[in-house]
Amino acid sequence: MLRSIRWTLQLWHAGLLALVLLVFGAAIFYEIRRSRYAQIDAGLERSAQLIAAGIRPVPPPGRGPGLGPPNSDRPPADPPDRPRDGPRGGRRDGRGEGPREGEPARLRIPEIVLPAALADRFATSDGGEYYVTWGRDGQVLSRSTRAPDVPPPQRPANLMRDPVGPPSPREPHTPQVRQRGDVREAVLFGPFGVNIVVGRSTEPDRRELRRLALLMTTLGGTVLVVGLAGGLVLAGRVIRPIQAITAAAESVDAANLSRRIAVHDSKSELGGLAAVLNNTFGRLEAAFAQQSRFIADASHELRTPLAVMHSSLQLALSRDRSAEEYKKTVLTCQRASTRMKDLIDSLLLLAGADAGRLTLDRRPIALSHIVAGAIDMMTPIAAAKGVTIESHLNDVVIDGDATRIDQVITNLLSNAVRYNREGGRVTVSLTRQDDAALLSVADTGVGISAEHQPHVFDRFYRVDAARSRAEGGSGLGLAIVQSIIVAHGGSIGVSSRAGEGTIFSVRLPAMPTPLTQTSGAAS
Amino acid sequence: MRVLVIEDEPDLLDVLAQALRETGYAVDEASDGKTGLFKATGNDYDAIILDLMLPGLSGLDVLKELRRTKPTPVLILTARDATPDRVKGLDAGADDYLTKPFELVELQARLRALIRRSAGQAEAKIMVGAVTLDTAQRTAFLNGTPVALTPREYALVELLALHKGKLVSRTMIYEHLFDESSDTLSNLVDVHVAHVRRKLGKDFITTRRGEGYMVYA
Repeated sequence: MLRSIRWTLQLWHAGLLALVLLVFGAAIFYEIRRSRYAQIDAGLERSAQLIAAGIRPVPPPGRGPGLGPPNSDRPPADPPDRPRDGPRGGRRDGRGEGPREGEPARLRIPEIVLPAALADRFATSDGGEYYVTWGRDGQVLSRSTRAPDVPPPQRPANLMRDPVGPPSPREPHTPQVRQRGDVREAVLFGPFGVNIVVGRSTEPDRRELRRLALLMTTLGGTVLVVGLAGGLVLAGRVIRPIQAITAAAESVDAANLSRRIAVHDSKSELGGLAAVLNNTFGRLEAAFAQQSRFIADASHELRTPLAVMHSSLQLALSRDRSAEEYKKTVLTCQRASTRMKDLIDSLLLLAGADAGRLTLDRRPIALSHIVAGAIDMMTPIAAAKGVTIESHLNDVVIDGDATRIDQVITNLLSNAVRYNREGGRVTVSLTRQDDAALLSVADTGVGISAEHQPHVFDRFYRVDAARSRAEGGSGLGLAIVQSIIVAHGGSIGVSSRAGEGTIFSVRLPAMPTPLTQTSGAAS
Repeated sequence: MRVLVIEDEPDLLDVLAQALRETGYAVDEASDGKTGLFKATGNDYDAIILDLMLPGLSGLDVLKELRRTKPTPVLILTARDATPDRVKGLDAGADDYLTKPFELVELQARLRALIRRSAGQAEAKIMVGAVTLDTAQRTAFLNGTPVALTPREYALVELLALHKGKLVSRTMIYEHLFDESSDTLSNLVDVHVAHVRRKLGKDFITTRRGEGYMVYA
């Protein structure tokens, strides 16, 4: 699991890094390549244009120079007599200077004058630059010494009817660049029907580009390896706290809930995770502690009646007894076993309520009847203590379990009587408020001090450690009351002032007001 | 021997008191902490059996309060069985600790041991001249032969034997032999002394007129 996170992270990291390097490298490479070719092309085009600019029409014999370009700044001269213009060794004027007999004048071959710098370049170029020119008839006019065999370009149809006199020899057509095998050539259909091809081998450039590609690949590979190694280390560093958290979480178990994960940086996500886990462990620990305290309390409560039974049976059997004495022992044991039974019933009810299995036999019940019945039952007990019970009961129908609700009311009433002062008063009121039944049981007893109030519904919580035990209480009464009320969808609260009395307020969901009441009011 | 039982569970208090009385102890009862402390400080008990969960004043508070004035041996009898509870009880000054439910015979054996030790007697058998007392069986032997004594006579012999070589006043005897509910007259002590002398020999108990009785080692 952990390894897979680590390797998934690493895989993603590697993929992304490789993609970025590839795209970046490819972009740079192709941009360099493009600019290199653009540079080559520009050079070739310029050369082609310079060549085109050097084309001079050769006037036909017997004719005036009228056929030459009128704006020609150079007087036409005999090609052989112009050594100053001829490219050294690169120029073949043989064809150009001998116009064929009988050919129309406009087919006369023009001569080409190369600028000296250009001629030098063709002569010495190491880059393999060359040029070839063809005349209108497809014959090679001139070529540089190193020019390979170049197939003559086909002049497009729209340029075929190029007049002898160009629009201007200084405004030649735009050259077109083509790649022919290893060479790149600029083709220019120049004036006077001269086709010019200037080319050079791209082999050195491509060699250079290949070297560049190799360099970039090596560099990219190195970066990738370094990046992956770094990623591995980083992933390890990220994983390590997770492993620490896992180890710590594993070591936390029911027997050892107090262990916590060490939080190094509470602001980081993992620190947050650790804090959340610690929090959860804390709540678990509290729940476990509560549970074991509950069990300890329950066993403690069971021990006392068990001790009574155990020792009174031992005493009875230690010698022969009269029937009267045996009867006393049996009665003692019966009281003890009743107490144990009640306690176990209470524990089971609470356990059921905890598990959401508190079974309620719910049906519409008139709450006032149940309260009145419970008051009737309690009145003699209250009277024995000089306590009077007052009641103000309104009709409220709830959907509830009559037995359980009676248990709740009886418990609250008996508490109110038990903890009342001599000659005190218990006031029971039942009202309806919107869709709820409000029952309050108020006494004039000793009250519950503020420190105890939050705990009165806790299991086995006793305001006075043992007072209620002597009077038969188990410390579970109010916990059960609360469980029953909550199971009915209600709530219970307590308010009290020490020395003045205590009020328990129960709120239960009421059923809609019965029709009979409405019609009774109408008639 | 007179013991005080402080226990708030009425049935258990009854059973304990009856069991101890049947064994020959004089037993006083208290069902809450305040009454218990009042009785414990007001009388010289041979031992006190103390419950911890008491209304009014907790058992531990009773114990701490008692220890300010009296070294009476105290046996804590409680349902709290966790080690911290035992430690707390013993540290508060208890001499022994027993958890509920308990065996009556064990409670009585521990009680005997407590009383014996508090009298500086480590052994269960006490020898006084020709008389030997087996405190476990509550039996007296004269020259190796068991002598039939009533529980109260035995208690008198044991009291004197535990304080052998020391003067034991009539009041002290009365207080250790009869519980608070007895309304017998103190000259009953003389009757018991006379009975013991008849059974264990005239010279076993020496009378210090106007002061009390004693046995010589």
